Amino acid sequence: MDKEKISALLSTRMLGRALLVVDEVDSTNALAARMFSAGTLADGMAIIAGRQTAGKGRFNRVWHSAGGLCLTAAVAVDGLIKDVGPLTLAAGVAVAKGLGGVCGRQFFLKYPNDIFSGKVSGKKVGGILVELKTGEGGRNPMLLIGIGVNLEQEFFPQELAKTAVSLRQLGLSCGREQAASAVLNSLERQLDALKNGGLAQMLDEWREMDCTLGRMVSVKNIAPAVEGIARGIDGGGALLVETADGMRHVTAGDILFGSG
Amino acid sequence: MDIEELKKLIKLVEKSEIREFELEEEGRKIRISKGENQQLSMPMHYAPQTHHIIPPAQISAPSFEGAAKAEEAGNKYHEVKSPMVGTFYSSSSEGTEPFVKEGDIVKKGQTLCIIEAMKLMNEIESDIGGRIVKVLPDNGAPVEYGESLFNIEPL
Repeated sequence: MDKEKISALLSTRMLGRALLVVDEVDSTNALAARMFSAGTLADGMAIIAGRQTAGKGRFNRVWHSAGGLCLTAAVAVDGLIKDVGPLTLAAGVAVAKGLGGVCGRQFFLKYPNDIFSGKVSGKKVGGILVELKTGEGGRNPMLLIGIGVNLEQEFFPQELAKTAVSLRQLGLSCGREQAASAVLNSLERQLDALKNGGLAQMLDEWREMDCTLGRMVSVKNIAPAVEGIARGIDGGGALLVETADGMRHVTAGDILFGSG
Repeated sequence: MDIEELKKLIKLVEKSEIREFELEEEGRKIRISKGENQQLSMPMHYAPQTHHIIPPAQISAPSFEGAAKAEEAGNKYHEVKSPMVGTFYSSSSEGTEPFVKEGDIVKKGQTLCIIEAMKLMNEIESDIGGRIVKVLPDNGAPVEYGESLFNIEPL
């Protein structure tokens, strides 16, 4: 990963202007969290790793990262955060659009922000895990936006092959630096738009990429579990699921395709 | 109507298809409305989807926040509250040990739980050293902004 090349391709005001590129790390989010605790994580800083030895998804699930893009963007937030949901959707839109731009094809979103290769029978190309760190002593809290993209993997372990695909396997080669800078450029644009009252527009963009719509989904890891047909998202970004007991507004848990 | 009844009412309205609800009793008026097309006014400072509105004319009536503080005064333990609306997780992944159990001694800065909203994982740390007296929500339960999560006896 060429740091200079990434910097040269950035069109951002802040995001990625402080840039840390490492060959190998446990996980970019974990490194960012340690730096935040030590007070060395600057607002807008991006950390990019060539490889993660303990890359984690939600609930510490292992992500097969060799050949992938591992990136964490740190964004300071001011004030109390009462409802951060739309932000994770905006991150999904940003990554899908950024990758779409460099690859010259459309990507889709599975609620809330998994990047998928196709609308109906697509596989997962990338995932996002956002962590919120609260600062002691009046420091602003910081969002760690962890982004994993399957770039150059030639194959996946058997248990992942059914659900994951890399850009290379899709016949797309966009370059690691191009992908990293495109994601950061797109993320800053999307977050700026959201700050400036662009919630409704962002939700519309999300809806255009929705590959969950109309499909049977089951939502796990919440009590009680929810099962039904995905009916899009509401004005606050919650997933609408039509169940036997009526419409549910889901904002948490694991969304799985099919009935569970 | 006491604060517990008010909380129940807000939850009922939230879960229902009702957009707006108004109640007048004993000279107090309570209006709860759900915003559908709210805009974000502050950088990264999101308006909650459910607004708890007390009209200015009834300014002397106890507000939601004020009543919560009064309730706090009756609790001799330190309360750790949820900074956001989301789902409460007591452990980092399914089937693993919870971060803390009742009776555990915790240090300031120690992770107590995760609150998730739309795949944003918010690790909640203890802002005080002490003994966990009570873990209030069940694992996987929805929690409101400002809802008490833990009672901690300062040590």
